[in-house]
Amino acid sequence: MRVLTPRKFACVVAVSAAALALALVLAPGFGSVDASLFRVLAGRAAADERTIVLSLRFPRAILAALAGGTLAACGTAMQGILANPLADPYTLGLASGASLAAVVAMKLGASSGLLTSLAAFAGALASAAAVWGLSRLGRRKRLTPEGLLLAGVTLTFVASAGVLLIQYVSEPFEIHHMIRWMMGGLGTVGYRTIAAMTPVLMPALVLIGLQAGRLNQIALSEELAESRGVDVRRVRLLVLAGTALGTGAAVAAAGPVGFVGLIVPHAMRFLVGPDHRLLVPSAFLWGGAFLVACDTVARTVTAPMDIPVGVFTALLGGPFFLWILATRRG
Amino acid sequence: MTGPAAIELDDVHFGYPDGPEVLRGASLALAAGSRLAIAGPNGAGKSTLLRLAAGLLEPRRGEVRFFGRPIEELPRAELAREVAWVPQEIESAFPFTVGEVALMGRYPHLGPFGFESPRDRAIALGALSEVGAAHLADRLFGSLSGGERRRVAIASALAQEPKVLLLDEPTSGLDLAAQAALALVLERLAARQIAIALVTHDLNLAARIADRVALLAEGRIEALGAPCEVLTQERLARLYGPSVRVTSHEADGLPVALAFAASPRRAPEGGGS
Repeated sequence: MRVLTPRKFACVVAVSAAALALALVLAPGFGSVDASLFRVLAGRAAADERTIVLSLRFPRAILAALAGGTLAACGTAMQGILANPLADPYTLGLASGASLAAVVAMKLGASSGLLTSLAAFAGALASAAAVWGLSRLGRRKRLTPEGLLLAGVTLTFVASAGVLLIQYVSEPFEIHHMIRWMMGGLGTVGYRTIAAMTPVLMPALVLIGLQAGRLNQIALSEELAESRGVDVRRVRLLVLAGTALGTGAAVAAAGPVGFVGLIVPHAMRFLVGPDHRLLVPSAFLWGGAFLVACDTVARTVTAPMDIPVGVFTALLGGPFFLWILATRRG
Repeated sequence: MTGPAAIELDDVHFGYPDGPEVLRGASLALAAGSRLAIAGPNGAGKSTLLRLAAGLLEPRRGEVRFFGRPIEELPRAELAREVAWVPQEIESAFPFTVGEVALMGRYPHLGPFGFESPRDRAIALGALSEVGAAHLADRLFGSLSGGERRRVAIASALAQEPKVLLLDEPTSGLDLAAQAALALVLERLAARQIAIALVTHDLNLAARIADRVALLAEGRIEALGAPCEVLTQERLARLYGPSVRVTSHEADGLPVALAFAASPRRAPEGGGS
């Protein structure tokens, strides 16, 4: 009988953490300029190499790990609360809301990436609040997954239309800027971004992780979960809040990188099973490793040109997802 | 009977928001170790009654009590350790194994972060054995037949170690052998002083699987008592229409209800083979 024991939990988490650590250590070694984290740490690197590794490639890898991990963990939790394996962190319109806010900020002349990021973060939070409000229209006390999904799809359409409208009235160089942001990328970040997003990410992830046992019950059957003492409404609200904060912070820093939040939960469910107590932490660690790997490929395959990582996750993720759909059991 | 009933419904009224009343004053008591079948025409409010007993719905009026205590006074988690409810169907989009589904019944005893102990595993496996599904433990729940899924759902409820077991149509879609097996399981559970209520459309099964039958119609309890007293020709004809025929089975003397009695056999017209 498949059972999650503390020992199994510890083993899987240790192996996953090791994979992420390996990705983080190796990633700075790839690029158009030869460099190595090991040489830098051993103090045998020149000043240029130190700068490239410590100021550019390593913080970029850390950010990729945080963003990828957060999106994957949030995607796992969204699939759980909606009892729908096709959900992802953006299903409820968070990415579109963030994009609309970012595009508005750019159009209004946001001079720095920081302002755009703040706008995107605010946009994601506003979307989550709007979805929560919309799904409760009609005085329904119960918050059904269908209500949430419909509200999310509606919001996505409205926000996307808003983005198109703003692009239509923008200058070509502005449009280029906007589209580039919406592709998602990790190119222009440093430790300051990491320092800014971590205090938001960590509580969000803890909030989601604490719901894992309840997510199992909801994923099995919502009404059964309630009969067993799970406050389904509360769990949905907490997970949605955690996802809004986590995804909002990830999108603010890296743009709306797609597919990580959809594929990694699926892949992990194949590998470690559907128990959210193990699935959420594994998805975080492997999601991080996956985005570090994608970003490393994205910035080296056509070096010195840097392909937006969002393009790459979708290019890799699309066929993978189709494969899962084609081979899905049951 | 001494002491309060395991579950007691006292003049319970219920309706969904903005809707008409589905239950219009239902009262019944379920004693420890007894088996009650809840029957009645479609839309009579049977499943609603069961959900109210499980504390999944709140009555508009009236009260539901668990061993004399109003259930809204009981913390949800505490109630979940005492009362288990089994839905008509569990359909999960996720690939849980049968063993995992059974283990999930331990949730009310674990708290949200705990891992199941060897004792929890033993209880879940015991529950699967109880319903004859231990050999399915490593199968995917979604790959089972309807009857197997129903047995596993019951095992998951038994893993809760409840004092009250509420089953919504546990026998629909079960073949005769599976129905007989379920009857034996319920008998054993009742002998362990578990109070059992089950909703069913099968009046003949209800008469044999339960010691009392509650007949529901249009949100009211029409009759409540021993199968022979409740399942009478006159009453069933009134509820289900004049074609219903009730007889008494020669083996056990319990009522047998037929939807209609066949007309006397006629020779096939026009010959042929």
